Order: sequence, then C-alpha cells, then structure tokens
Amino acid sequence: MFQTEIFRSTPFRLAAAFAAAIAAVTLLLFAFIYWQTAIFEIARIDAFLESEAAVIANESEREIVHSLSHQLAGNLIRVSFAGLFSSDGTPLAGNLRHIPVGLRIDGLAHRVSADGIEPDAPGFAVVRAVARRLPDGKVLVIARDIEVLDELRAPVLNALELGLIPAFVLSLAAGVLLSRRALARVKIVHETIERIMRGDLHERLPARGTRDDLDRLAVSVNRMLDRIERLLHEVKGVGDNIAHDLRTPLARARAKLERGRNVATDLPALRGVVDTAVADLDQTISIITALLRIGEIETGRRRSGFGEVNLADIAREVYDLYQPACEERGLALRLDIAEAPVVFGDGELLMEAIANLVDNAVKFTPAGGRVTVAVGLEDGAPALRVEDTGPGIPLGEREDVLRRFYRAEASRNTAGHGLGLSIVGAIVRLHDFRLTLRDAKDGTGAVFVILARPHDECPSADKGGARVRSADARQPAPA
Amino acid sequence: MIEQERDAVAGPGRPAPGRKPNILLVEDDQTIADEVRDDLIGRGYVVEHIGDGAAAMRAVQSRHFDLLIVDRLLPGLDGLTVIERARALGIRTPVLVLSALSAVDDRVRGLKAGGDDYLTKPFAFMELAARVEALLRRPIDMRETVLRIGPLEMDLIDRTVRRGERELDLLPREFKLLEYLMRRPGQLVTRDMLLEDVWHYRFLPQTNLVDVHIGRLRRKLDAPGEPPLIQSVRGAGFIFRVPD
Repeated sequence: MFQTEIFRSTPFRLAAAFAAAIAAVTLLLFAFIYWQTAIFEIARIDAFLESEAAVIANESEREIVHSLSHQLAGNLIRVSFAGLFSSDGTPLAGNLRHIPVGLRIDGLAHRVSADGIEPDAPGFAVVRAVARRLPDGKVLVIARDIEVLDELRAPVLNALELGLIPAFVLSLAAGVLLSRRALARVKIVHETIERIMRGDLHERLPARGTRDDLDRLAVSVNRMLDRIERLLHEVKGVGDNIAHDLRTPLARARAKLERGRNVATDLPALRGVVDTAVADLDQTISIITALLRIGEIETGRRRSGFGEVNLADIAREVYDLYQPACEERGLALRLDIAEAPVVFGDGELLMEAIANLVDNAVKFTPAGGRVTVAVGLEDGAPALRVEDTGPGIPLGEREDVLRRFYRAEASRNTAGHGLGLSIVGAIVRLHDFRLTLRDAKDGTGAVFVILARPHDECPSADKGGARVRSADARQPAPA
Repeated sequence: MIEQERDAVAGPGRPAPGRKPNILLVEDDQTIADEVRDDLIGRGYVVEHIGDGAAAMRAVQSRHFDLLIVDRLLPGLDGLTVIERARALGIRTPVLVLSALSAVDDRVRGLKAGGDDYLTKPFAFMELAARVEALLRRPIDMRETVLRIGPLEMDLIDRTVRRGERELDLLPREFKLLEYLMRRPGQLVTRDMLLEDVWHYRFLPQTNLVDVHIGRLRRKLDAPGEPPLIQSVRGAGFIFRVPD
C-alpha cells in the first residue's frame, strides 16, 4: 500500500518526469554529436581519397601498380581497397574483384559496396570509393572502408551508457527518496488531523522551521486551528454567559411567584407579584429575541435589502426618534451633519445599528450630559459617530465590548437585553463596515464610530464617480 | 402584561358593541390555543379553534369568519400555504399571522403570502387583542383630505391641525403620530404598532421612546382645562378617544 503510494506521490512523479526529460535530451545530444562527427569524418575520407586518386592517376602504369601495392601494404587503414582495371573492367592489379557496381568514374567519392580479394582485402564492405579514368582508358579505383565509423559509434554509445543510465537511475532514486520523506510527513499530518477530528483540538501539525511549502502549509493550518480553537472557546464562554444571563431573571421570577403564592393574601397583592414576575420573563424573552436577531443578521447574509442609503437621512430619523426622550432625561442630543454620504446598505438595519448606539449612549449618560450623532467623512470614508459624555468604557473592556455576544458587567443588572452593541457589530459585519471605539476628545465619554465603505467602492453600485454630496445645511444643536 | 378591566363594557381591545365578531384560530399548540381562545372570548369574541391546516382550509371554505389567526408552522398543511390557498379562492378575510420565528425574511414572507399583520411569539395578550381589534376595524378611509374627530380637525393637505378655534403647532413627527391615532378612534394602539407603523421600526428600543413622544403630543393637544384626548392603557398602549 505504502509502496504504491510512493509511485503516486507528487515528488516521485516529478522526479520520473525529470529523469525522462534528461534521458531524451541526452539522447538527442549524443545523436547530434555522432551525426556531426560522422559527416565530418566522411568528408575527411572523401577529400583524402579524391586527392590521392588524382596524385596516383598522374603516375605511369608501373608506378601505379607499385603505388597500389604500397598503399595497400603500408596504409591499409587509410585505403582499404585499390584496383587498376582495363577499360573493359578486367582487374589488372590491386585487391578488388571488379569495379564496384554503380560507381561513377568521375574522380569524386561515392558510397558503394566493394568486393575485395581475400586475404589482402576484408571481403565485402561498404566503402567510400573514387574511380578515375586514366589517359589510356584504364580505370583506377581506391576506396576506404567506412565501417571505421562503427568504431566511432562504440565510444559514443559507451559514453551514453556511462552518462545517461546513472543520471536516469539517480533521478528516479532521488524521486523515491523525496517521495518517501514527503509521504512520511504527509502521513504524520494525516494522523494529526485524524486526532484533531477525534476532538483533540490542542494538536498542531509538525512544522520544522524549514519554510518549505509543506512547512508553510502546516503553519497556516496551525494558525487556522488556533483561530478555530479560540472561537470554540469563545462560543463556549458565550453559551455559559447566556445561560447565566437567562437564569438570573428566571430565578427572580420563580422566587417572586413562589413567595407570592405563599405570602399574598388578596388578589391585588397577587397581581402585583405576577406583574413583576412577568417583567422578569419579558427580560428573558428580550435577551433571547436579541440573540436570535444577531444570529439572523449574521447567518442570513441577507443583502437583498441593500440599496443606496444616505447616512445623514438615517441619522436625522434616529435623532427625531430619540430627541424627546433625551430632553426628558435632561440630556442634550446633538445632530452634527458635515457631509451627507451615500452608502450601499440596508437602510432598516443601519437605522437599527445607529439607534442601538444612541440607545446605549442615552442609557449610560447621566443627566446634564450630551449625546452627539455626527455624520461626515474620515479619510474619504463615510463615517457615523455617536459620542456621549458618560463614564466611558475602561480601556481593558474596550475590545470585549465590540466582541460578539458580549454583555458588559454593568448592563447585567440594568433593564434590557444588554446585547445592543452585539447587534450593532453583527450589522456592521454584514455590511463589511468597521466599528471602532475611541477616546472622547474632551472628557471621559465613549465614542463609537461606524466607518462605511464609500458607495462607489461597492461592486453593485452604479458608476457615478464620487457619490459624496454636501449637506446643504448644518443642523444646529438644540438647546 | 395582562391588564383587564372586567367591568368595562367596551374596554381596550374589545370589539365594538353589536354582533360578536367571529374568529378562527388555527394553532397546533394546545396550551397557547386555549389561553388565546379564553382571552379573546373574555374580550367578547366568538372563537373557533382548529389544530391543523387541512381542517382549517375546509372550515374557511365552508363558513364565514371575520378574522383568521393563523400560526406559521402547522402540522400537515403549513400556515402560509393555508393563507395563500384561501387568498387564491378569493377569501378576503383579514389574517393575523403568528410565528415563533422572528426573522425579518419570515415576516416579509408572511405578509406576502396574504397576511395582514404579523405577531411574533411570545406575545402579550394585550398586543394580540390590539392587533385583532385593528384588523377588525379598518382605519378611517385614506382618501379623505380632512379628518374631523370631536373637537379635532386635521387638514392632510395643508398639514394643519385645529382643536376648536386653537391652531396646534405640531412637528412633522407629531403630525404623523396624531394622524395615525385619529384614524383609529377608540381603538387600543400598542407601542409596537406605533413603532412599526409610524416610525417603521422593526426592532424594540430599550428606552421608552413612544411614551415620550405621546407625552409631548398630549401637551400640545390638551390646553389646561380641556379633557385629554389620548388615554394611556397601563402596560399596553394608548387610545385616542373623544370624551362624551
């Protein structure tokens, strides 16, 4: 099983392909070298034969016969066949039985087969041959065996063997080796993942710090596992918190009902007890409703209700809704509209987000304070700010406040579900906007900022250049 | 929160005097169904309860009802399907959809299927009673350009309001709020209804916003010595009523 896995592994396949490529290129290279060398060698032989034939042909017949025997005796390697023939083709001297068939008598070298007389000549052979007609009509033939080229082939093939086969074998071996190592690591990763899937979330993939691709992958997966573990932990914590938050009002309601049943002596008293118990149940329900609402916003990813929304219009509506309530509590609600940016979003949800921020600010700002809703641009991005002059949020709690499902300690015992900011967070995430918490410029209050994307950055928005318009009027702060 | 004035003849959330309206309640949870039926009967309605969609469909086709209260999730035939089929048959009876699902999408689907109003479980009986009353007594005709209720006269074109000879100086939001109340004289209007219909808010703020708005409107509406036109119903909402 593991053996066949090696042949299927990526490193082995790469190595095999590499080895095949090396073999092909080497073969081509050697073939080319051999081919070029053979051409060169034949040209050399031809030139020698042609010049030699020309020299011999100028000599007297006696000298020619002598030359032939001399050439043959002393130079068998350079001239392996020679013959002098009468004009009708009868052999007169040399080691050829007849003029090679098909050999043209033109003083140039041609490829033919020669029939030699043993033992002076090596019998039949493929040769390069030159034939020249002498002035008296006789024919001179000298030829050279080109089987010498076979001798050339031998070292070439030899070199090929010595070079190519080891290279091929080595690359295959390297492939097997690399695949084994890779497979061994993959196997460890597999086993680790199996353990993680069985629930051992603390396990991490082995990383060797070599920064190779497997290592980098392992590091990424480990970071993902860290995040998942943290989220699971958070969710568990959230679950515990919610259970606790739900149990508190339920416990109160239960205690009131039980005591009321035993203590109340008349109908109005019992009704009073039931009323307060119902109020506790209402709070439980409002927590559940808020949680469902967050889940709905987060999982729904419902962007069908998206369209052009003017942040200033929404701010005005929220101002309109909250202004009387603020005045009643001795708070000044200010509307500060510097720009009227248009964003791409769900108007109803954005209004819910802003209203939740204002609701939150109103709840935590003591009488005589001020809550400001400001709309403008920050570095070109539409921004909506809700500032208050309340006690602010301690540095240590700021990150928590923006977290999912976080209920501030302070809100546990006040009315309401205490999940307003979580709802804001969910809406902001749905829109791909950003929610940040800042220090108030003066004083201690909290400043929440929703940073939106400019409308023209959104893919489904119509192309209209910068969509930021100036509001015509700055709304003065109410007294 | 339940607040009952058992002695009053036409208390909040009760039908107008005359023939008792006939309501079909389609709800599979027996406990909730019993409570709702008893509460509505106590308020002076005739209530018939059916536990599944197919039987409800047969009842709707064979008899006349003044109002249908239909749970969204029913065994067998789904609540929205019942409404859709009834509408397809030309039955125009107003429908109040009940649901344990609060999702906005779900609400939209409920209204699209032919529901006239949508109430999320759990609900206060007062809220249910107010919605039932609102559906049974349709608001005063929208085509009128001048509304006259008792001493009040509202000009919808000039956007002016007079109480007797006195002209009231109302902000746009106060005008909208008063118009909504004047179109439903003598009817219980809950805070949720006002938030949904006047401000188009689908979520519940944690501050008593509506009460403050009503308080301001009241101060402009009633000069010293004049009888109050907007009454509070504790734990439920408000009624616009002209004193006799």
